[in-house]
Amino acid sequence: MKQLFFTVVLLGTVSFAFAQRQVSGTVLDKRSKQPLAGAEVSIGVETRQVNQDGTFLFQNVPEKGKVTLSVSAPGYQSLVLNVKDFEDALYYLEEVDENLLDFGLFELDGDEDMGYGGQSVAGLETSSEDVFDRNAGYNLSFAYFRPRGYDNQNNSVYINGALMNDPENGRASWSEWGGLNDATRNSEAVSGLKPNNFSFGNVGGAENMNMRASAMPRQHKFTYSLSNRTYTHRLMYTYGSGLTPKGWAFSLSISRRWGNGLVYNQNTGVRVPRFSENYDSKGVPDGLLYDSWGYYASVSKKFGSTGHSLSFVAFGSPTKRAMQGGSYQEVYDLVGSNYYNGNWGYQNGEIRSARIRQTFLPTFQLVWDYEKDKTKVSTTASYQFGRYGTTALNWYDAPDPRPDYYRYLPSYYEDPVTAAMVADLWRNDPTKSQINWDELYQVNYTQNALGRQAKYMIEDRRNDVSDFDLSSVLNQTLNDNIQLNAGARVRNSVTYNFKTVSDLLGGEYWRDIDQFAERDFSSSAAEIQNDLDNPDRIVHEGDVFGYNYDMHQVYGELFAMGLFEYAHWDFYAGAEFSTTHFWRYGHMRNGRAPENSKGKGDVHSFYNYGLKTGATWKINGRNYIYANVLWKTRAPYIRNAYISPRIKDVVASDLRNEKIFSFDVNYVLKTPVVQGRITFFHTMFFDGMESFSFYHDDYRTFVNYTLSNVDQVHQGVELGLDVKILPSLSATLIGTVGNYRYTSRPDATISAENGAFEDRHNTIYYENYYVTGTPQLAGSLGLNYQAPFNIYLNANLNYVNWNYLSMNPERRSTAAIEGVAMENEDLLNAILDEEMLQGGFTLDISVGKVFRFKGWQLNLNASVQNVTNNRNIQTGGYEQRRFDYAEHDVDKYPPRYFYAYGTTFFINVGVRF
Amino acid sequence: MKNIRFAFLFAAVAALASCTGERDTPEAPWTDLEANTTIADLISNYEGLDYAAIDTPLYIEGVVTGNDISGNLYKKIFLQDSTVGIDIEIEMTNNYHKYPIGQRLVIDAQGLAFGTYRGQPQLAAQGDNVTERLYEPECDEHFHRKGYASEVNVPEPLSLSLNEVNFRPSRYIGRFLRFDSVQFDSAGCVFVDQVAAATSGNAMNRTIRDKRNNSLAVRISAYALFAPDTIPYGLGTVQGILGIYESGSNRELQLFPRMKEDLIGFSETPLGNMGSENE
Repeated sequence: MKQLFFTVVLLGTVSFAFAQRQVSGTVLDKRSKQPLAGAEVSIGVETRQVNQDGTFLFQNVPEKGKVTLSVSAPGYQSLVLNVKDFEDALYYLEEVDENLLDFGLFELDGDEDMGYGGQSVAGLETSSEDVFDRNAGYNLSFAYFRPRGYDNQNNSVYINGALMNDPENGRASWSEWGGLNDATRNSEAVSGLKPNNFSFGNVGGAENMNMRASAMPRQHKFTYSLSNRTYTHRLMYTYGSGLTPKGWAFSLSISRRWGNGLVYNQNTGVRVPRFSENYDSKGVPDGLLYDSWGYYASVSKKFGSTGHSLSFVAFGSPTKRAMQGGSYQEVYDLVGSNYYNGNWGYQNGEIRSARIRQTFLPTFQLVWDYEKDKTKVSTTASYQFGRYGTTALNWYDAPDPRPDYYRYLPSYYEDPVTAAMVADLWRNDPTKSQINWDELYQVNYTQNALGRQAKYMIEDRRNDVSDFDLSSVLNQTLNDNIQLNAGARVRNSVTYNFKTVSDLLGGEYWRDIDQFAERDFSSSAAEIQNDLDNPDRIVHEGDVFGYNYDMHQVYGELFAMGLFEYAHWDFYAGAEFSTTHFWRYGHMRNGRAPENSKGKGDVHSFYNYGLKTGATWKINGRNYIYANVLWKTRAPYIRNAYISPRIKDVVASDLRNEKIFSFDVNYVLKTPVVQGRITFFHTMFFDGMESFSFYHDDYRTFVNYTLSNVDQVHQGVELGLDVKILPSLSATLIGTVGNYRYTSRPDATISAENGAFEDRHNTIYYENYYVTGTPQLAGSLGLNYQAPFNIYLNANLNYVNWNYLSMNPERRSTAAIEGVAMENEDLLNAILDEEMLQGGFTLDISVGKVFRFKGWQLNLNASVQNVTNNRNIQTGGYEQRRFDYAEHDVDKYPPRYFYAYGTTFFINVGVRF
Repeated sequence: MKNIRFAFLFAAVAALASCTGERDTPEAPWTDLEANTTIADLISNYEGLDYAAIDTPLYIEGVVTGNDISGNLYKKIFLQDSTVGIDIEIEMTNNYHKYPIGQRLVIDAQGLAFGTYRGQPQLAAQGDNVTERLYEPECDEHFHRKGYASEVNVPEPLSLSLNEVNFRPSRYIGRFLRFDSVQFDSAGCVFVDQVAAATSGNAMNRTIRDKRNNSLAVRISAYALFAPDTIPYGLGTVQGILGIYESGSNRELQLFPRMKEDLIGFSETPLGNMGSENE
C-alpha cells in the first residue's frame, strides 16, 4: 500500500507539457432553460455527471479530429453530436416519454429453497449510457440474462455510497427499494472493469444511486400502470422541490403495486387471462398474490457557499407476494400449462398460497457532502433493518402436502389403470392438482380431538437484518491531468436466522423436535431436540422454533485509485484492501450438536486485496481502445462458508479466499451516426464456493450441500451498435457469445440436518461443464422510430440460447456411474451430459405519445412483450438432487423447469408538472 | 488504423485460445496402496485373541464378496483375497451402495482392531478392549477402493461337500463357498417364521442336507428380503459365506446366502420322488 501511494504521488508530480484540448459546457432543459443537474455527459469511454449548475468540463480530449459528445438525462432525449464550440457551449435536452423506459424490468425472484439460487435480475445496466448494457438490461432480462455470465455477487450496488449487497450472500436485492423507480433513476452505473468515482469497482460492475433530494428534479409526477406481469396495478406519486434559494430541497415518492397480474378470478368475475393458456382460460387463477408499497423521502440542505451540504434519505418497500414454484414437465403436460404453480390451493373456495414472501427493510441515511474547488468528499451513514421472511408448509408424521410430490403423479404408478385415474384427477380435481387446505385442516382437527400436536402447519423462515454502513469517498483533482479517488468503509451487519410458527392450520400446538431425526434416533433421544435446553418444547403461533442463530459480520475496506489523463492516453491504477470477520451466535442448543450450537462461535477472519489498472488509447475523437486488468481476492460468503448453520457452528474445512483474475479489451466507436462497442473479456474465478439445501428423499432429511474449490472461466465477446438510419429512425444491435465453464473438480461436503450420518465428502467432476443459469448466447435487434406528433415507436427482436439446466453435483461423481460400463456411452452421456435448455426468439413492441400543455406533460405508452406468444423458452430449472444409483434411470427423478412468460402487456399513464 | 487492426488481431487470437475441453467424466476410484500381508496371515497372526488393537502398518487387499444387498447380512461386509475371507463390521445400513459385491478394497488396518466373536474372526474398530463397528468416516479413512466394483472381480465360490466343511471348518470360515446337490429339510415352509425368529436372534437356521445325510445350517435373517418366501423344493446348489457361532462347547457352522439368487436350481413346486431325477 505504501509503495503504491508513493507511486501515485510520484506520477502526480510529473507534468506533461502538452497543449490540451478541452470541452466544456452547460446542459439545460430546452423548455425551462434551467440547468439539468441529473444529466450525464460522455466523450469516448469517459462518462461523468454534470455539476449542480449543469456545467461540465472534459480536459484532455483527443487532440485530433472531430470529437463526439453525448448528453443524456433521465426523462430526456439524448443528444449525440460533434463538438463545435469546445468552450462553454450550451446543450439543450428535450423531455421525452421517460416511461418508455419504465417497463421491461422483470422482477425475477427465484426460490432459494428450491435450489434456484434466488437471484433477481433488474436494473443495474439499464441506466447505463452504453448501448449494450442498456439494451441487455431491458430486452434480455426476461430470460435471466446475466452480463458475462456473472453471478450477481459480482455487481456492487450502492445507494448514496452505502453498500447494499446482502452481507450473507453478497447479492443485491432490488426488491428492497421496489416501486421507487423515480427516486432511484439518478445513478452512476459502470459495467465490467471500468473505473468509477465511488468505489474500487467489482468484476461485473458497480452502480451508485443518488437519492439525495438535491438531485431530484423539480416536479410533481403521477403514474398509473396496468399490467398482467407480476402485478396488475401500479400507482406512483413523486415530488421534487428542486433547490430553494435558501438551499433546501425536498423530495418524496410513494407507490403501490398490487394485484396478481390480471387473471380470471372466480370471485370477482374479472376475466383477463394472464398467459392466455388453457390452464388459465379454464378459469383457474395461478395463485400469485402481490401487494407492495414503496416510500421514499429526502431532505437536503446546502450551507451557502461553504461547500457543505447535508441530506437525509429514508426509503423502504413493504412487500407481500406469493412465490411461483417450478414443476416437472409431466405436471405441465398434465395441466396443459408451463406455468403451473403448485404453491397454492383452495381453502373454503378461496385461493391461498403456502409460500408468501413478506419483506420490509426500511433504510435511513445521513449524507454529508463537501464540494469545493477540486475536492469532493461524500460521507454516508446508513442503517437498514427489518424483516425478510418466506413461509412454507411443514408437516409432522404425515404425507407430503405438496400436490406435485412425485408419489402423487401418474408416473409413480406402474398399473396403467391407476395411472390414468390419477392423471384424470390431476386434470379435473383442484384438490389433487393444488394444495388441499381443507384436508390439512381436517387432519389437524382430528389431532386436536386426540389431544395431539398438529400434523400440518405454515412456518415463516426469516432472515432479518440489521446493517450499519459508514463510508466516505474522496474525489480530489490534483492538477489538469490527475485525479485521485479514495475511500473507506466500515460495515457491521447482523442477520437473524430463525423460523416462527406462522399458522397452525387449525391445530393446537406444535412440538419443537426434528421429525427427520426422530426416524433415525429413538423418540426419546437427545438428538431429536432442536433446543436441548427446552426439550419437547410446545410452541404456538408466533413462537420461534426449529433454529435460531445470528450471523455477525464486520467488514472494512480502503481503496485508492489514481486516474491520469493526457491528450492521447488515459490510464489509471488502483488498489483495495479489505478485511472481513464473521461469526455465528446460536440461541439454541441443538440436540445433534450440543457442544457447538449455542453461544458465540469462532471468529473467522479474512484479509483481502485487489489491484486494478487500465488504459485508454484515444486514437481520435471518435475511436477509442481501452483495456483493463483486475486481480482481486475476496472472503467467502457466510451463506457458503457454514455447513448446516441451522444446527451447528461448523465451517467448510479449508475455508479460503476466492481469487479473481479478469481482463477485457474494448474498442469504442462514437460518431453522431454510429455508436458502438466491441469487447473481449476473460475472467477466471479460483477457489469459489457454492451451496444449497434440499430435502433428500433417500436420507429423509434436509441436506446441506457445499461445494468448495470451484473454479470458473468466463470468456466471450460483447457487441453493441446503435445506428441512426434517419434523423428519426435508429437501429440497435446487441449480441454476446460467451463460454462460461467450470474448470476444476470441486470438493463437496454433504451434511444431514437430522444428524443421520457424519458430514460426507466427495469429489465432483465438473471440469469443462458449462456454468448454468444464464444464456451464453444472446442478442437483440431493435428499431426506434420517433414519429411526428411526439409519438415513439419501438420494436425489439430478442434471442437467447445456450442456457443450461442447473446440475445435481452428485450426478457428476464417481458414485453416479458406479456399475456403468465405460463402453455404454449412451447411458454414460445420459447421466453426465448437461441439458441445454430451450432457447428462442421473442418480439417486443412499444408505443408512446407525449402531450404537452403549458408546463404539464402527459405521457401515454404501452408495451407488449413476447408478441408472438412464444411459451417454449426455458429460462431455467434444475435437476433433482436425487439420483437412481441402483438402476441409473435418468428419467426416474425428472428435472424441474421454468418457462419465460407468454405475451404480456404494460400500459402507463403519467402526468408531470 | 494499422494499429486498430493489430488490436483486433490480438482480440481474435485471445478468443481462439479459449477454453474448450472435453466434458469431465468421473474417474474410477484408485489407490496405489498394496497389500503387505494376506488375510490368512492376518488371522493366524492374532489367532484366538478376543481383541487385539492393530498398531503396525498392515495392509490387506481383497474383493467384497458379501454385504447387506438383501438384508441377510447386517452391518457387515466380507472381504476375500486369494487365501480366505474375513468379516468386517460396519456401523452402516445399506452398505451395499458403498461396498458393492465385486468391489476391490485395500484396507489400511493400522488403527483398527482384530477380534474373535463367537469364533468368528472380525476386523472392526478399536474399542475399550472390545471391538466396535466402524463408523462411515473411519471406513472412508481406512478403506481404499481400487477401481469400480465388477462381477468379474468376484472369486468363484469354492465348491465343497458338506462333509469337507464339517470336517475342517476353520480354513473355510469367512469364505465364499458353494454346495451342490443339496436339499432343504423344510422345503415348502417360509424361510423365516417371524414368530419363531423373535426368540432366536431374529433369524432362523434352515438345514441343507446331501444324499449322504451330511448337513449344514443355512441362516436366514428375519430382515432378509426373501425371508417371507417359500423354501424351494428338490436338489440344488446353495452358495454363501460361511460363518461360525460358538456358544460354550457348542460350535455351529452357518452358511449365509447373500441373496435369494444364491439358491440355484431348486424347484418352486414339490417333486415326486425327490433325488431320483439326478440318478
